[in-house]
Amino acid sequence: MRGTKRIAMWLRALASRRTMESELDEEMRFHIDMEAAKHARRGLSDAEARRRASLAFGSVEQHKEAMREGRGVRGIERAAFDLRFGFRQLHKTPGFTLAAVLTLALGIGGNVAVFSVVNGVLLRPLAFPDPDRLVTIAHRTRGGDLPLTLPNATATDVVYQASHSFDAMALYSSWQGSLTGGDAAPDWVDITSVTRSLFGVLRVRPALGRPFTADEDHPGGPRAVILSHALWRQRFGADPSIIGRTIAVDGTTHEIVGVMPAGFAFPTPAVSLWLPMRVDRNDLGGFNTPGIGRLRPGVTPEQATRELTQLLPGVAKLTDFITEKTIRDAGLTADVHPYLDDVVGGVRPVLWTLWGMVGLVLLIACVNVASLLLVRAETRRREVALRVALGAERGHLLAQSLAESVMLLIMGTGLGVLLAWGAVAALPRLAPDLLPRLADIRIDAVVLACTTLVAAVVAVAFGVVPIVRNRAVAPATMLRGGDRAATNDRHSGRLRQTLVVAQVAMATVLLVGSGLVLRSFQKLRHVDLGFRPDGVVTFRIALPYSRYRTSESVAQFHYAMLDRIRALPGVEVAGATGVLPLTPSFADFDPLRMEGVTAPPDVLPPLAEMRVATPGYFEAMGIPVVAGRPLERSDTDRITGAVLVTQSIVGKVMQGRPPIGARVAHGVAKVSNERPWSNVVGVVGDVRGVALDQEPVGAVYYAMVNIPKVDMDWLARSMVYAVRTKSPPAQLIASARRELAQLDPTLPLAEARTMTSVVDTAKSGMRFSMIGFAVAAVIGLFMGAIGLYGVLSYVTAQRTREIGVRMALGATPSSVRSSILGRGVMVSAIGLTAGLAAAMSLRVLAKPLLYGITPTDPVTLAAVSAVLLSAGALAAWLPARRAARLDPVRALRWD
Amino acid sequence: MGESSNEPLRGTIDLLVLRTLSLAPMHGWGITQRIQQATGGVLEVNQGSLYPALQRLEQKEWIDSEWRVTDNNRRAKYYRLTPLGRKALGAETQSWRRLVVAVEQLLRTT
Repeated sequence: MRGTKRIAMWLRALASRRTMESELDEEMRFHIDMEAAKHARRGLSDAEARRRASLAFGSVEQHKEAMREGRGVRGIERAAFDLRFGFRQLHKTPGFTLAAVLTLALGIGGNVAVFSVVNGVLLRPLAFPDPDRLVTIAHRTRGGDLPLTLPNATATDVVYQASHSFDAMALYSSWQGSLTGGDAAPDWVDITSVTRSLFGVLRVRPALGRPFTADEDHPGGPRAVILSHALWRQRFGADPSIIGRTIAVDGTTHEIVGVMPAGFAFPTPAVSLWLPMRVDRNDLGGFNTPGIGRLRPGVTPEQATRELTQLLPGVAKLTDFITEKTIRDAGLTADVHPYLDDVVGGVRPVLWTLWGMVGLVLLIACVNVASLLLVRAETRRREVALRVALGAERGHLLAQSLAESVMLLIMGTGLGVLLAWGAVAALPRLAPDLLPRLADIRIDAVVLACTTLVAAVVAVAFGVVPIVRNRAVAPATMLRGGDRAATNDRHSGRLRQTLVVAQVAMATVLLVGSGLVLRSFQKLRHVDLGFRPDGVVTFRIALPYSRYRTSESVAQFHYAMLDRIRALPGVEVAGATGVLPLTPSFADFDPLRMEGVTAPPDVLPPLAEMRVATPGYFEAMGIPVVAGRPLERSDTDRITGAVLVTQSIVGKVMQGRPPIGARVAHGVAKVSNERPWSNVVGVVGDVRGVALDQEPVGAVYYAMVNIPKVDMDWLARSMVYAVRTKSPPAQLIASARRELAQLDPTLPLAEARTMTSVVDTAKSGMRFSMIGFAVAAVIGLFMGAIGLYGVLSYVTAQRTREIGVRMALGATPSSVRSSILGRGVMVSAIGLTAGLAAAMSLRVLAKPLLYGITPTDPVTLAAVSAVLLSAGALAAWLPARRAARLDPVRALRWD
Repeated sequence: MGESSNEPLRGTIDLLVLRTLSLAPMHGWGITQRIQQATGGVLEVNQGSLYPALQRLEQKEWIDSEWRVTDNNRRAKYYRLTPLGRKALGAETQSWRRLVVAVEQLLRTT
């Protein structure tokens, strides 16, 4: 017999089960009819003939059963039957079913949703060939207090070339700038300059055109630009003959030499243009150029770190101010780590912890369903005993109880995946800025496979419990003793209570976690920003070099624009600066020296931000002037070298000397980009510049034309306006656009937003973890409370007779009530204690997520305890009240 | 229904059914009657073994079946020998004969 034929028959047998049953029936009936007819022909009465025929034939059912077995589909038929039976059982108790399915759906759905995020953000490889070998090349100092973490362009370009750990290394640097040319309106776009080696590092070539040539990547070489696929499509209509045409980037004409393939995202998906970096090997640049490398196969990041650290002293040969001793003293080392870490950033600990939390929710859900099933199994023990007594196979009974669990699981998983799908689909709308790699987050085969695995684990976790419980059923005892004898056994009560304690403990861990994050968020909300964001509207205007060649013309434009803004109705005060606080940007840190303070030759002076400000900026932002005077327009008109410093600079750099009248300079002495001295005319408050949770670094504010050297000129070209106004933001922006169009119709008004939204965006990472944790904790608490309620209700119902006896003997309703309440609170307290202990052992995990509090924050712990005990008391209250209202007479008759 | 002395030997039922069907297609009841007649009532095939045997033979594709109308206008399932079944009948007959000769020899020598 050929195998395929056999399978075909088997499938046909399965598919046409109903037809085959009826044919079987007909064939048997025919046989009996013929036999009866034969007897009738011999003269027997019809009835007698039929009786004999039937007798001779034997049990029709038995024959049919034998035939069914012969068809080989018996197992499947039985399973289908069991599933139908399970479904009917569930259908009969909709309350139980709904509770169990919803519980499972929430538990599984949460896991699927969070896992699809974890998978997309943390696990899925980056969209470059061999992405595992891509590493970030950065630097670290021992103290870590200097944000001096990035390689100096020249150092990397020159010194590290001796390294053997890399196939290729590249540098890149990002900013935002204006794009003009073609028929479209001017655009404000994300730009990244790269060394031409980048294409070799990433192993990606332009889809159209070519990468940069060596000439183009050299100072003074031809100006070239490569477009992103999105920009090419949107602005140039995907014109295939685009190569060789020119556009103006920041006012300078560039030739388009290439278009990158769709989906190419470096360093972020937002970048529209890539320019060659044109590193000047004769001039030490800033310390702010990130490096990326491709490791040789088999080289680990640790080995590369060691090798680069050994090469690092070579930097000293290039400069005067960095000596080998500086490097040693600062504990400066290379830091090579997977590039993926940088893409993912700080969201990694949040996601892992969140996954742990939804895992706990799932565990609670399992325990909940397990105790529901347990209660159900126990109320059904009498039925089971009866069926065992009537000859039901035990294996079959177990299979049926498992079938019921499987049905629950299928429904719960289905609903859970639907929930997760909805959540993931809504993610880009709900949280556009919260997560990196948003495009990589989806529910795919990996996620679904993981879900199946989770579901299987869940099935084992809760499906086994009732089976184990039912094994102990001895039909005789069960049927004799009735429900009471069987259910009051101490063992099952203890099992149920252990489950509830475990639930409460897990809910405690969830509550502690989300409580801590909530408290951190609260602290962060009340952090002193150093400015007042409410009522401030901001936007950026950048001036191209092509039409605003001198610093004076730049300053003139901005002052003219500010005057127009100030004249708008509702505007109280307006000013402008180069970089807003809390907006992630190319951070312009440089060492700051003070005249008369000679730092030891090997010590790098403290760092300070380089900022530009116009008069009115500090008032508009609500930054206090604590000493001296603010910047005035005259500081720009005449070159006086007037600057403002922040309070922390006074402490760090001036070491107690009077700040007003002191002279400071950015840059390090005896280096080519050293700047001349500036006069401090005032001291202003510090602002949180980089991030909400980072202490201010301190800044020097230059007046626009007073910028001491040409290489800082670009700081003033692109200014962010800060306008304190009473009119609605949208209205002010519209008016500002009109004014700008009158001044210069070719300029874009970019990044229009309120300062409040800037602060909100800075809070968004913390908000994401807060919302995620809070949802997990609320669900966990709710499920825990339901579990406690369920068990106490059940126990109370079981003790009805006992309570009746007690009340008949004189117990008061209030003593009954408090006894049950006490039991609930005690169970919660045990769970709470266990949960707090568990939370304490996990506190290391919480550290990176917290701000301003310790993981043992007493306020959080007290609040969690209060919430949990109240929830426990509430869950116990209803059954307690029910018990207290029992009528002793009816209770005694109850069975 | 207990064991009957008229029951055919275990394992021979396939041979009996194949031989019966080699004469003409027939329904299940007809097969029992035919065997009874042909053996002069010595062999009586029990329904409990007949129908599983028919199913088994059909799965082996030695016979196949179709629903037909009988002489007195009733629907009945008729079984028919397939070419494969005809070949199998030959082989089964051979092996039965060998068995009979062997058993006969054994009985004679003892």
